[in-house]
Amino acid sequence: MVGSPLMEEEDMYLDLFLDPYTVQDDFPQAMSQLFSPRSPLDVHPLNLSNPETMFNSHLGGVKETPSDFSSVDLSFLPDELTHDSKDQDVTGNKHGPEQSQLQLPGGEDSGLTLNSGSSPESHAHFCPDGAASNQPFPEKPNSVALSVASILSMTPMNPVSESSGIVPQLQNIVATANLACKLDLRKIALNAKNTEYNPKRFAAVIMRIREPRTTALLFSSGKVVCTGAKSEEESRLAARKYARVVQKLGFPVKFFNFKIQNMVGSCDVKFPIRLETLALTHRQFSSYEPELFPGLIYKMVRPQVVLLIFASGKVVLTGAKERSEIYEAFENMYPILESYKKT
Amino acid sequence: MPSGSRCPDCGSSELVEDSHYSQSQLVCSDCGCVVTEGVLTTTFNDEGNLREVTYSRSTGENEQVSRSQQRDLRRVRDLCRILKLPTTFEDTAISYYQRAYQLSGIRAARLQKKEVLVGCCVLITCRQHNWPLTMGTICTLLYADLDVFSGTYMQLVKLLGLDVPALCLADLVKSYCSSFALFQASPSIPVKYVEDKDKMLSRTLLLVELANETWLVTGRHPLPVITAATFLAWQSLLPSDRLTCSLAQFCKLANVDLPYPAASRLQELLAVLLRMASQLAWLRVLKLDKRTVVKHIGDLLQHRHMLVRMAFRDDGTAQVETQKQQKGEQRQQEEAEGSTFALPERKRPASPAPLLPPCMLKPPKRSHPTPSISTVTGDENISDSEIEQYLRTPQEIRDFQRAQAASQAAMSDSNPP
Repeated sequence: MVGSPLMEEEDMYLDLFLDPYTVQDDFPQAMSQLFSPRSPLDVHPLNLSNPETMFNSHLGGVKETPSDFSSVDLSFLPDELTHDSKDQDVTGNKHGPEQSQLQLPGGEDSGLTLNSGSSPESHAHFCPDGAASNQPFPEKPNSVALSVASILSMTPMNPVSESSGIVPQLQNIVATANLACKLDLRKIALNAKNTEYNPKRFAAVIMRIREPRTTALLFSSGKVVCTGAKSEEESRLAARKYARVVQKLGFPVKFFNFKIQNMVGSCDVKFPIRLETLALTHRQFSSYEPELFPGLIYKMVRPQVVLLIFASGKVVLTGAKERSEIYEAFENMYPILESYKKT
Repeated sequence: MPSGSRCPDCGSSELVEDSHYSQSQLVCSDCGCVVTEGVLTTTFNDEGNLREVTYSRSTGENEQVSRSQQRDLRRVRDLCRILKLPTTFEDTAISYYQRAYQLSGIRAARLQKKEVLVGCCVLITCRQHNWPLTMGTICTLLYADLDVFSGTYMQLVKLLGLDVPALCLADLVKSYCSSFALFQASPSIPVKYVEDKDKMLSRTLLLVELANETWLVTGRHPLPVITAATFLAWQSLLPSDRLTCSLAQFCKLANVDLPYPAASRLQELLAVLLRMASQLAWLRVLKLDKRTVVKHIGDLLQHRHMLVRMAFRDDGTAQVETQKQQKGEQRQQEEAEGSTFALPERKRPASPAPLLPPCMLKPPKRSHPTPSISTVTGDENISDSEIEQYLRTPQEIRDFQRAQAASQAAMSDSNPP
């Protein structure tokens, strides 16, 4: 621990405390662009509650924290609050690797020991942020380093995880497509290796491909159901591959009406949940029958998503047609779950 | 001779009660006309002749109701009577069944589903009146599968839009404990095993409350927890004689089925009690294990609130309690342990464990592999070689067809004889 005169630090800290409330609006945007929705933000070695309490305890003893940043360099603070994205990306780039190190106090380093020369204002973000918003942004340094490079190629639809900091991960996507020609299922089952066909049991051919790892049901009408993909693009690619296989077998296929029918996502809030209390207060949406199933089935109305909530804090979201519905459903649910955090 | 009734033919009032074989009849003694009889006369006439006619036969309500529904409504009543439910429950259950029968999904369902529906209606009625009835009980009474029952139950609740409250744990404890056959001496039960019902009930309730507080009940079937709690309560009331009895033996003696998860619930409950015991100075000295802690359950339950708070932390900060509070405690039910009144040593109690459900305490079975960021766009080119790996060569097709034919022949050979 580096010792520094407390008075100096206090004044500087006061500035830092006041300024970030204005800068704060910009930085979260940069932050959200820094990670792609597919990066495993919810799977990280941190216990979310730990950093929070550490931050809280630091907030309580404000005088203690300044000792951590001995080399407080205020030159990073922008004069103007509205930047064009280029500048912001530049600053984002600069702070990227350092910020990531800041955000893993519980995991990599113990406590809030920062590397010297780490950017202070982002740290200052987190001290008052701990009071203002709920969670710091959990992130892995490698994923940040990678995605920093691909900031400009990011699609604009990114989850703004200001409130929970957890992004549900997509586990399964079910999609349908129309090949627009009648299929001879026996011929397909004979000529293709990766198929199962048992007409007495089910009137479709079950075909599997290795990359992307998916399964498809091919019906004699020409309709296809593709399951098992982990993203929308993968699902579309897989459906096209199935169409190609059938095309190679000699059928005049086309690729029409590719539509995603269902998306399943999962995540972990990392704290236990009192399911009985939740069922009691949200009676009209919840169904909790411990004799039948250990989880609580929550049927959210807007968006129309079904959440399976378990006592361990794991949440499964299903029934969505769009990725944004899953994210929105989780963001709606998270404050409710948080209110049951302390038993 | 009922007054006021006359023979419809001759108008005579001389009506005699006669029985033709087993059928009782009212016959006019003058002209021999049969006034009332089972199938030959209508209930309207019977009533006119002041004969008793049951309500359900006279109002014609059963004519509008199909036979299968009638049978199921009778079954609902029978089930309520078997379970000794109050009569108001019967009417509620019947009304639910009739409402369910209006729905097309139910009316066209198979008979098996309709049978299970009977149980569902009774269960919903009991739940709404806080009568502790488990699904397991109903399934055994109906000889039904729990899967079928659960599907029908969920469908019914959704279709009728009902708000079914949760199972009331305290009432379930009372009714389940009362079913244990240990409260009266009998030849099959050793004298020392007989226990007073109220004492056992109150202690079991405390143990179940403790289990609920320490996350052993959330998400789990309630019955095995209650079995484990009853066993511990019974053991702790006379530990010297009952420690040798195992959970399975206990259930056999008490004439109650042992649910499979009860053993692991018992271990979890004992672990919680051990943690609590480590916070009491005089128990820490004894170095208790899962068997010996049973002797001190009385004490632990007495101070359970404080001990749970001390033994577990749920906000991430470690707590170190001083010994001063513990010195002031009085022990009530003592066992002959001489060293218990030794001065508590000046060492720290065991550091608090996190108060989490057991599923969160166990290490994860498999590490979650972090999925790599995929850069799939969905519109890439698909190479021919990739697709060809999935197709069979002509030689392979011939081999496959031959193999299929051979296996078909083998199957048809083995089947007829």
